[in-house]
Amino acid sequence: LSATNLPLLKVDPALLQAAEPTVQTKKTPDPSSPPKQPVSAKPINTENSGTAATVPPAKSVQTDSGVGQPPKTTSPTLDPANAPIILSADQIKGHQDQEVEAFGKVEMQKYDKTLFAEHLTYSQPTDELFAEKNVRIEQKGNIITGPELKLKLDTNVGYMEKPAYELAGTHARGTGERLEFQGEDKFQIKDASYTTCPVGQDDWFIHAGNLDLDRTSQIGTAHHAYIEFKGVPILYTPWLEFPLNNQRKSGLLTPSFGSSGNSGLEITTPYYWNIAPNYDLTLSPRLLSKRGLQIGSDFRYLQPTYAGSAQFEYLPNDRVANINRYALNLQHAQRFDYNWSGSLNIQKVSDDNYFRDLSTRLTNTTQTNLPREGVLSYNGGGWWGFSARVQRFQTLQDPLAPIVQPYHRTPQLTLTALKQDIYGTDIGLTSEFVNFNNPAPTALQPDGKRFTIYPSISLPLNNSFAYITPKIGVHYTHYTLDKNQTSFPDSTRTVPIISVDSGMVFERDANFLDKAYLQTLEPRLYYLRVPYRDQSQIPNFDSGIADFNFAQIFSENQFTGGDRISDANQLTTALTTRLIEPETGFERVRAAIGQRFYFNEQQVTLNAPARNTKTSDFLAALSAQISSAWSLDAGWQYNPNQHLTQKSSFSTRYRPEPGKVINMSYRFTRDSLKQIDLSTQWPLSGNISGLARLNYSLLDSTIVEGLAGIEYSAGCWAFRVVAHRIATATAQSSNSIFLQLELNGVSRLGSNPLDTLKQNISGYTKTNE
Amino acid sequence: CGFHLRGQATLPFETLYIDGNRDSPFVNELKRAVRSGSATKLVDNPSEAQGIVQIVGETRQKVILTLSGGGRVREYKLLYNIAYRVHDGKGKDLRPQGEISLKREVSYDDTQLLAKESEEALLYRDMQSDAVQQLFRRLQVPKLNQ
Repeated sequence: LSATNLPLLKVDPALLQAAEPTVQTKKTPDPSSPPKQPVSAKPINTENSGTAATVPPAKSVQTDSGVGQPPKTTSPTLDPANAPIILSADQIKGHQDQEVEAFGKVEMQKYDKTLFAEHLTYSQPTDELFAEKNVRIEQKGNIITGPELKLKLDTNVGYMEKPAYELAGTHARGTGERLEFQGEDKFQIKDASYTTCPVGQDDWFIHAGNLDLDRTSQIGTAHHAYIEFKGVPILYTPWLEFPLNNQRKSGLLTPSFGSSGNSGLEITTPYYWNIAPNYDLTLSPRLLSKRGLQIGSDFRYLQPTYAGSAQFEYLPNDRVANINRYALNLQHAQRFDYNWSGSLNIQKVSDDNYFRDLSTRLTNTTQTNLPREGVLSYNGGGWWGFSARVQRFQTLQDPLAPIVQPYHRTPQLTLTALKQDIYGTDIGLTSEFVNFNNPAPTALQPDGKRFTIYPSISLPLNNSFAYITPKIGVHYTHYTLDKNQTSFPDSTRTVPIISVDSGMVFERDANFLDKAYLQTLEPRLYYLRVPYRDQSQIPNFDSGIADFNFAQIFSENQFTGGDRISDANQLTTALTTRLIEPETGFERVRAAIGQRFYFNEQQVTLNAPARNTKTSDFLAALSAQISSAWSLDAGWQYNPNQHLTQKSSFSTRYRPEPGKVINMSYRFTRDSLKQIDLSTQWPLSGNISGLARLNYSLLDSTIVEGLAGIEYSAGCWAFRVVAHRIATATAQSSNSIFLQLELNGVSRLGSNPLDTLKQNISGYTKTNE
Repeated sequence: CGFHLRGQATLPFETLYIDGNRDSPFVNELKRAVRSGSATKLVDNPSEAQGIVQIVGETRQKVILTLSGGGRVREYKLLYNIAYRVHDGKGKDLRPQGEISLKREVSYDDTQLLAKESEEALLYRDMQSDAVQQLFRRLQVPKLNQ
């Protein structure tokens, strides 16, 4: 079980209000200050982090619409206890303020309860009623029918014999031997059945000796229960809790079962503890038949100024590996006063094979460098910032393909600033100090300290259709190296960087596929001049050759990181055209081409021979979102000197409606990558959808990732069977089979393939939603 | 071929308030685009603005794009998403709520961890500028119900 299965945490509104004064007293009122939002909930749910914290807490008050509508006003005369009783029937007799008896088509209403029956007696002094024959009671959209009812109206205590019930909201329904009213919004049913299938579809039921339905806490609890599916009992449980709406609730989550070659049979029985709206804890004992018992825990928290999660897994005395095994993952983000913020990301596992042995999740098995880092940042009013970071890694080695460990940064300090509109100029500064620490130092890769400062000034000149921005800066770097490890000298590198960026924008009205668009044509020219500096005596701490792409061709350095600065005397040209939908401003199509022209030979190199041509590769890109169903992306990098395609990619998606999607892509990088990737979710016949993905490497002739499955959806339940295979290391792969029966609103039985499906089939949607 | 030089961008607001995290480089760049690219005046007080651009969410995500045959990551896909609202400060939306989603691809190698970090930062900055231009385009569309 992973955090992504769990619902979002919510900030307790009381805590939010309590925190507000501290935010406001921070400085004089500044309307442009950040919204008083809690820190991002990113560790909790990366997909919705931006909005997670701002979701208002759901109210426990029901707003169901139904037959028994509550009064529209809540004036004092209509409080529940003193609400008048409205009674109609074919015949009514009785004594004022004593007992009333009604016969034939009886309808009685008090506050939000409405009751129908053929015969009713009501005692006013005790506020008790007895009804029989076709009794039907409706309240807040919940409907209960039966042959006989006894109820004390003010306390809502009583019983109904042989009840049939329908609950508002979830469309759950069922029957029982006897229903006890146990106060407002609380029912207990003996020998009960429960299903969320609509009337007429009796596909599954929970049968319980005792069923408690609490509409205040919105929890249903079944005691001595078994699940009947298609008339066959499939699972017995002494105790089962389920939500009566889609809120989070504490309780045992459905166990998941699985099997794998190197761990044997396994069963996980997670327990979810909804501690508070902004705290929760999931405990997941997991029994692996070959290895032993693993305990997993996931604690999450969300506060106005901080948020995070702590996950810990422990498998004592693994019987296969003969060691104690554990994994730790701590995530914490915090906003301090006075524009400071910080974060922690601490990950550790007991051994290199931990994820390969104990996880089938791609996000785990692909992890090679687990970070342990802390960051402290200061934001100086949007135009300057400072940050300090300490970062180390645990490197998990693939035994057949070991890698060099990355440098640790202990610490890295950065200061950046950009001040604009100073007499028409922009003044920028980036500076950095890093203490690079190599866990396994060598003469070429020693420990060392690097200090960099790069001030620059640019003069942006623009009007509505053109711009030109000359820029000049001086890049200064100083290295202090560990002399015990290397013969590289301490060194200083100072290099001026001069560039001129310019572009124009033309527009016209255009028609494309019978639709009117605004078409733009945007030529851009970028000239860069950087004199050569000998950098052969400088170690490489964090530099690499950058990918060649549209962002890169307009940047000042063809290397990333700070240890190599490419010499340049070059002109980059590019032309972009866009189709913009006039009524929305949406960009529907973009096409671009670009190329760089070199006026000098390349002198600074890194792990590759120097360029010997006057022109760079040619770049072309196309992306289009023609309709809500179709989208397309394509990229091409072509070497005109050798007449070779260096890199190409093509991907398209067709998603006409939820539940129907086809993704196709082809990716090629010369000498490194050649893959096709196909995935789909598509209705096959009736309620059956096919699920498939094939990611095939033409270079290695292997399946990198494959998935095949079907999903049967019957509205109130769904069944999925999915087979999945991923490569986990050189000549190793992990195969798994998921079988899942989902009873809507109650339970998911079996092993859960939903995360795997979402990750493999982009655009996958559950068909039973 | 019918192309002409682009004219001055006009936003259908004389005054605009940009409601977003002041620490966000996106918000700062959007302010700059409005300030230098249109005649619209940015105000510091939402009650003085004809329109409010609210940045509801700004998210970055990194997902695995391709794996090697040995199960190592070869390429990542970087996703950048801006969710926004344009409203009049009195509860009325002046545009449909919208999102701008962008993606870039970056090659990856476990031995190049630190080098790739600055490359990812470059691509996120590129997407951020792209998103600013796209939102600025969308703001130029006339208001709803006017």
